[in-house]
Amino acid sequence: MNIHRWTVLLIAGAALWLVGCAKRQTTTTTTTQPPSGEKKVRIVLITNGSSPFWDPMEVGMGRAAEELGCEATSRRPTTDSPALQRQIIEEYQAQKVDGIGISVIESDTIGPIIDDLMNSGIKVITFDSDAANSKRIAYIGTNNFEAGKAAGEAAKKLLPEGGKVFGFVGNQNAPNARERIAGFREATKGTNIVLVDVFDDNKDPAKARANVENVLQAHKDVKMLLGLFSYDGPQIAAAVKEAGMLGKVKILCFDAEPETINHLKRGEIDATVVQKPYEFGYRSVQLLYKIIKLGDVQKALKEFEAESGYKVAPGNVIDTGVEIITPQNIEEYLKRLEALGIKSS
Amino acid sequence: MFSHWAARIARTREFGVVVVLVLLVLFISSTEKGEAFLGPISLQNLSRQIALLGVFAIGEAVVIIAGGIDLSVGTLIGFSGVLCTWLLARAGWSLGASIVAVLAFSAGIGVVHALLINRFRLLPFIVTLGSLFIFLSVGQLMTNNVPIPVSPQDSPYSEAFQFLGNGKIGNVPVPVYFLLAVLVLVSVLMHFTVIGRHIYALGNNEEATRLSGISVLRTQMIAYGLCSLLAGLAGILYASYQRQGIPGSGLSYELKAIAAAVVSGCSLSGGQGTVIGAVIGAGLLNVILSGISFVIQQGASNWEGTVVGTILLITAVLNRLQQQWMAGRK
Repeated sequence: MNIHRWTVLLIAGAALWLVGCAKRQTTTTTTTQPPSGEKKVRIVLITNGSSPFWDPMEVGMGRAAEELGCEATSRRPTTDSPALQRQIIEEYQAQKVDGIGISVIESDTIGPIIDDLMNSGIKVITFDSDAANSKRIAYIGTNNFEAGKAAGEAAKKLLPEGGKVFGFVGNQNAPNARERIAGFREATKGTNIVLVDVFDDNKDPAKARANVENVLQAHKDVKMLLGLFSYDGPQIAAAVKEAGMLGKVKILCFDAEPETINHLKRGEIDATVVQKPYEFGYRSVQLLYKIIKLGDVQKALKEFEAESGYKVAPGNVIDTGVEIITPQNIEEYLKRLEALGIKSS
Repeated sequence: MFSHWAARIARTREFGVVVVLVLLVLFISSTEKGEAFLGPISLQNLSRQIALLGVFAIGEAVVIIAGGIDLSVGTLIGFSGVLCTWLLARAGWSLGASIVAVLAFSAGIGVVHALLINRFRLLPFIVTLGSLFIFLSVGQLMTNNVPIPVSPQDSPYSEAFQFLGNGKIGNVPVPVYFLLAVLVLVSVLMHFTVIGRHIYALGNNEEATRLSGISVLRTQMIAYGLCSLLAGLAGILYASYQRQGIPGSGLSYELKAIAAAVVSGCSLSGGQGTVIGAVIGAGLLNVILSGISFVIQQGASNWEGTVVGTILLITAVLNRLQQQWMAGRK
């Protein structure tokens, strides 16, 4: 067999395999029969990317759809491109679904589309990431400023004497990063805790690790390292461990990637701030269903407030809150996730 | 005798970069935190960063010298790290078997690149751009985008694996030994063997190379195979350094590799440059990147692009002036 035929075979094989991969859908649908013979309510939740962060969101969405007897579908765009998200939204606009929840990738692009959906009679809320300047009915998600404040409160407990803190993040100008940093500064104002500087890693974990190594050498008096994006925690822990400074420098981070959980179990990360993606999914379906069924936004919000226990803040913003997980409560937290059918978040 | 050697060194393409590198180190060490920059741990960190980048910058340099380009090294680094940790932690393979499998797979990818470029007359740019996207996505598919840790409970080889990227032998980080071995082997290949001469010849003039009876396909297979193989090796080292296989890591590293190779004299039109130049280029890039955190006390990240870009341009201009001056003296 000559080289040419080998090449053709290889390409054919690769093409077949890619087709096989493409068949793996990123759509999850939960359908249950409506109580009576009436038309089933159709709700779609569209995420801002394909991250496993959304696994628990889909579990929550499915649970709510089951309880309410409606149809709920989630779509995860394969990239974080606003244009792709717009295309997906328009697919469901054409299908005339009843309600759409969106984790907005870029509010300037998606905002006008939301207004368009609302005008065409589709009820829209945002979750996880807001488009506050649009006609969306409400927003459900983490208030990142409050999450930053919670991190600041945790820092005060870990560093009662205060000290220098350095932060690590993908991009400190991203809205969620900016809000978390502002919240942290707010909570630590008037104490001896100083967030000296924040380093960008452009979502490159090896760069995050190198940033930490440089800080540990350039600032010998550092007391705490703050990881603001999910992958930063494991990289901080690895660098601190390598430098033999475990215990001497406190580590505070966000989210619970598998390696973050491992470090927490070993007591190497002191605390992590976790969001509640399960609640994003569950509460989004619950609220959209109420709005569609009742046809009255104010009444729906009032009922939602009473049933969920969450407060609807001005601008119809609903903060699902965060939790601080430490080596002391990590096992209990994992058990709770397992009971909901979730591996990590 | 000494002045003869000094003159020869000053005439090399890499000389300008070395001058900038030395000036930069002198400048950083003269600042307030300079002592810490030249401290033993800082130097270990710096040498490890240079080694991690140098290993695959050497491969990129070989492909560029052969008149090609490989855009897939970045995502291949991410994918081979995922593959290695997957074999270790999920499939339960031994460390040796996992490494051999990853290196064999990577080298095979380079051979496929060469076949596509040669048999279908495709541009290296488009072939390796295709691979760039594929490796990124396949790594995500394999892991559902969740990193694969290699803790002691995941694999009995956890300690040995972590040693590759994090360990030290006699105070020198392990990746540095990998870099030195790769540098010596590839330098010998490029400068003292027929294969090396063919690679330079191919980069200078593909048609003349073909007409002189050299197998262009075989030469391309060696150049691209070597480049992908070294990206695979770098992927294993990075995964060990990060202590997990992370899908999507290594993204845009191909630009760092190209910058390292080109800044010290590899010509993008092929046939010129050396692999040691790529290592010196890797040194320059990492000295700048680490130095910024020592020199700029606040807002260092926002300065990074400006500083890196400016120094790269200054170095390129110096290189050009030196070459013109040399040409004028001939």
